[in-house]
Amino acid sequence: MISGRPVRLVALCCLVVVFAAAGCRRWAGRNLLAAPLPDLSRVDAGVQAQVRGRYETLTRALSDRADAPELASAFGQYGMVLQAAEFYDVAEPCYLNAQKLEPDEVRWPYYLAGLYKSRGETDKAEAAYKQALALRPDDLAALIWLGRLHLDQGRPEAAEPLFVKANSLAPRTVAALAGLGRVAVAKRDYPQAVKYLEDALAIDPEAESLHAPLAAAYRGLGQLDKAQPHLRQWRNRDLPVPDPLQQELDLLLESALSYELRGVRAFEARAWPQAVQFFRKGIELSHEDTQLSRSLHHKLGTALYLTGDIQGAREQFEEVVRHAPPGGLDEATSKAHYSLGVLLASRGDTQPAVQHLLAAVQYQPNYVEAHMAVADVLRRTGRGEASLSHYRDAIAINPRQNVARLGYAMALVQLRRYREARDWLDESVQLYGDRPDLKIALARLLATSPDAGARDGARALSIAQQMFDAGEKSTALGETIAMALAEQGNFAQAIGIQRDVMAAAQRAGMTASVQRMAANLALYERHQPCRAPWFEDDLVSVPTTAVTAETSIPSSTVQPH
Amino acid sequence: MLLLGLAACAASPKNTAPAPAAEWFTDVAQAAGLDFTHVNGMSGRFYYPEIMAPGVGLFDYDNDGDLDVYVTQGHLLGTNGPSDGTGDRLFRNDTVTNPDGTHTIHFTDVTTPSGISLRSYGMGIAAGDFNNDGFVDLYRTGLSGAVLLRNNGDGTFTDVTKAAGVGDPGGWGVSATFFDYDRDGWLDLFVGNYLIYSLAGDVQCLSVTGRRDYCPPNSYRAQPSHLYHNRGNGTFEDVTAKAFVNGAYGPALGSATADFNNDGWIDLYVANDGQPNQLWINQHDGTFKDTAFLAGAAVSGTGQAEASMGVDAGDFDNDGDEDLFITNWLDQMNVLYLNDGAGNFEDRRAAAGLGPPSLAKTGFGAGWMDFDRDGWLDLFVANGGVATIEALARANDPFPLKMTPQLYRNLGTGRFEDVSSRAGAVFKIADVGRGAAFGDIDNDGDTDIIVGNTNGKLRVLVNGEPNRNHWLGLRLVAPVQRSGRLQPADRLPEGGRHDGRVRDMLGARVQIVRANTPALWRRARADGSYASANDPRVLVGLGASAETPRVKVTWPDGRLEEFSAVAVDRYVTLEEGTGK
Repeated sequence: MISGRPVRLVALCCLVVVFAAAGCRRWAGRNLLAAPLPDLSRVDAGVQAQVRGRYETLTRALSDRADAPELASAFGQYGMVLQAAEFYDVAEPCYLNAQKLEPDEVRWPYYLAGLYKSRGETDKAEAAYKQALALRPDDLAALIWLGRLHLDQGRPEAAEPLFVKANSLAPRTVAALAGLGRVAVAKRDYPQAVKYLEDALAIDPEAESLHAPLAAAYRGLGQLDKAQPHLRQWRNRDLPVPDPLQQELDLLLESALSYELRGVRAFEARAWPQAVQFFRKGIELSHEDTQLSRSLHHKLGTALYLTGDIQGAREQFEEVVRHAPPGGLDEATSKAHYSLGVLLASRGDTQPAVQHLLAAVQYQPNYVEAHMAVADVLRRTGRGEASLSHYRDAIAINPRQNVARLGYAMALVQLRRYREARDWLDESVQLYGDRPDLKIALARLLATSPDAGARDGARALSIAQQMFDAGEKSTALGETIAMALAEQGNFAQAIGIQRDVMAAAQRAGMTASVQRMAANLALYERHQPCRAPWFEDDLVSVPTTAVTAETSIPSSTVQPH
Repeated sequence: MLLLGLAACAASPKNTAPAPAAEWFTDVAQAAGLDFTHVNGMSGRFYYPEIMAPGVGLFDYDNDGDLDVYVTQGHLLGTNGPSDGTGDRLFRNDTVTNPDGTHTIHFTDVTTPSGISLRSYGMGIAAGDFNNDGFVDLYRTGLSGAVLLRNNGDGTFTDVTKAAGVGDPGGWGVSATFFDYDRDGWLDLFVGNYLIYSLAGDVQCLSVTGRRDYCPPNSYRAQPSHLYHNRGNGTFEDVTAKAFVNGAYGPALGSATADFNNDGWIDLYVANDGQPNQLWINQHDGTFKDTAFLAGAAVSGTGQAEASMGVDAGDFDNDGDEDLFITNWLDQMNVLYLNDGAGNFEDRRAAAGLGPPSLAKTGFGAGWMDFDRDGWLDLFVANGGVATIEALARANDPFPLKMTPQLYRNLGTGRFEDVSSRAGAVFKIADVGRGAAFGDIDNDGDTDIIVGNTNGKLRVLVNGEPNRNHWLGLRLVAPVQRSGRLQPADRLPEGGRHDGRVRDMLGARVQIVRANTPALWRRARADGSYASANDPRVLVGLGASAETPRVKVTWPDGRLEEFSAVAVDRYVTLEEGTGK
């Protein structure tokens, strides 16, 4: 027979075993979930140090029996770095513990909600956002995120009051207006959708992704004529939510890549000096001679360029080139060569510019901007024959590269191959009939070709007139009409139009263009037609700066999950 | 608490749980002889192509009335090529119908006798009879170029790529689709190209914690797709620039053809990864116009371009038009675009209940299928990640991108229910799902699914969903004339006979008309999903009604025929020119 005392001891052991098996610790009467240190072997050294540091702070707080707020903060801070590093399963108990210890702190349910959202656990995310809002009813970000969640759940009726409140708290918040617009679209209330989305775009014209749902709303109203222009303005842009807590999380990690991401975000916000700081920090944390390091140097150079520090920019690009791999393909090196080429070309240092641009193409054969840039430099410095292959390469990489088609035609004209240029532009217009620049180029060539076999003033005027009647209004088209009229002997009208175009250009501040147009005006006044469709050194397009290339191809990054 | 503790220490009482219900889907790959494991070539370098293949194909290559299987294979990347034992595989269906009416599913690897020896890095497969000889041919896309395999009709295939002019040199093609866009009786070919890529130019990407991982698609530039017009003499002409007004750009992953605006001409939808999708509306003159933006089918309802991997068209709400389902990356949710009948679409993913269940999933191959034959099209999605899932990596999974597939049941109300948890043990198996092909492998009147998994086993999901609903199986064909040279499928003269050879009329639409139930619309198609080829037969669930329907067929050239009293619960061949 077992005595009473050993039975109680056995029961107590069972209890301890049960709770230990459940991963709980008893502290000051509270049961807390285990929050271990995860396997950090796959993580950057800087991030490892961060995680370990916060873990040590937590264990110290536990062993020192810190008070509830301090312990909550330790759990919460540890949870944040874990969440930022995507250790969601370990971050979750940290936040739950923090919430238990500090139930009035809005951060913990807020971060939990984001974590649950990342894992696709929408019901839990919804509950956590509601907890956050119970603590802070006017939290703008929580209102918007919960509203979006309800929309994703197909519950616009639940989302609407949240966006309404967000909009009333912060009337010029694009994310709130966009949310209201989405609600209206979901309810098929297209007039209301139009109102909200137009308001959002009026506040922030760069919220260009909204042009798509706005066009859909106009389409819903049967107003296709209003929908079309919006579709042409669409760009793929994220709609940021003003969210200081999330931003704190996003900027938390001390890794080179994290700083690169911060810098790219600063780019997108046009905060160049901040971008400079972030990229410098990223370079400090990165290892030399890695692709990431080269990428950071190049991005720093771009940011310096945008702050006006041209010399500083050049030094960074040259640093990249100095550490370039000896051969093969390398994106950062390619971009650095491109940036140097563009810089030098803008100063008139043509020869070294061409060398850098050719090197850019060597390190990245499908770098269409580099092909365009080298083609333009060659053409504008009288080397039309050499430019042709680069224009062709640009078109092969991207058949929709219409400026390359234009450049190719200009090179042919430079080489006095007028009929070939005409045929090329004819084919281009057939393929890409909605490109006004190609049509204008064809009309100009037809109006002004020195080779009579390629000249057709009547056709030139017809093309230009059709464009004008369709609503195309530009100085380039006006000039072209004047050229065509002069070719047909209608000098009086040509003079009138040329003068009108020059006045419009003057008003627009296009001084250099006005001076060039004066030369043609003088011809018409002498009753002579123009025999040059464009000037030899006319740009086909403005070479994209490195920053444009940056935002189109992020390197060394992965979409965060 | 003491009692609870003691209870925890005591032994559990015996559990007499009831026997589990029959599984809706069962993986029979191993048992059926489809013992195939995809090799993605991973070596720790995280080369981008490692996460994109394979596609799978279901088609009847030997015209014996059952579906055979084709699977593309990869190889170790960064080396000169594969060692023995790898390469694409062709499996012949040797399923046997037992005396009791059950089926023993069995496949035989006939790759070697078929003459197919493709050991380059394969991506996807498209099936169609491009030369109108009554035998289905194959077009196989790959990392660097494609291959057209002509079916010789004797169990063998011949590589006719060069002669045909459809090699897509240097192209990284993923999905391809055969369709007769100009109604001349010859199948033309769309090839969806993905990215401009080379191993030497592979970009190294890191996660925010600094670990190596696979890159997002915007690390590379898109590669333009191609449209090839079939000249009818065994060759094709690249008409991309002429046909696609304003050019065709990628990075294309999924493609599906259907008559989206109900004008009788077949259109093309292309899912582009991270870029606006394209809805190419047939202009009836050899050209297409992209109306995706204006139609509301280019980007999400919020205006963002989405990942867009797999795509399928189907009339899920039985209103007579083709709706679209597109799979997406996690965080974006899969998309349901509801067609208004005129080719305008509305993003209804949230309202349909398809959003939240897909939030934590990255979907690839997907298709409309009526798995329970209740007359409402359901959805299957093969899921698999494109970047490391940290929890799996920490558990030492060598390829930590695995996710479970999903089955969504159409409730007939505009909403869907995720029924994966009830669909069978195979839905609890996590793979890196990519291609999915849909078809009736055992000819028992329900849709089965084969799934290609990156660096994983082929899965063959045989449908055993216990329902007593009726069904209609249609093979829509036209006769093939042969007089020494290739000819299009002409209408037979009165009383004319043909030699018995027929071809599937891809793109033909059917309307199932019954007296006491709403009409249903379906179409014959081999494309859709991701990089895969589907059973071209039309399998229609009829629900509880055994009424024999009238079937109205709109053939690809626009001609309309009606067939009355079509027998149900069996496969019936409807031949063009034999109806009213």
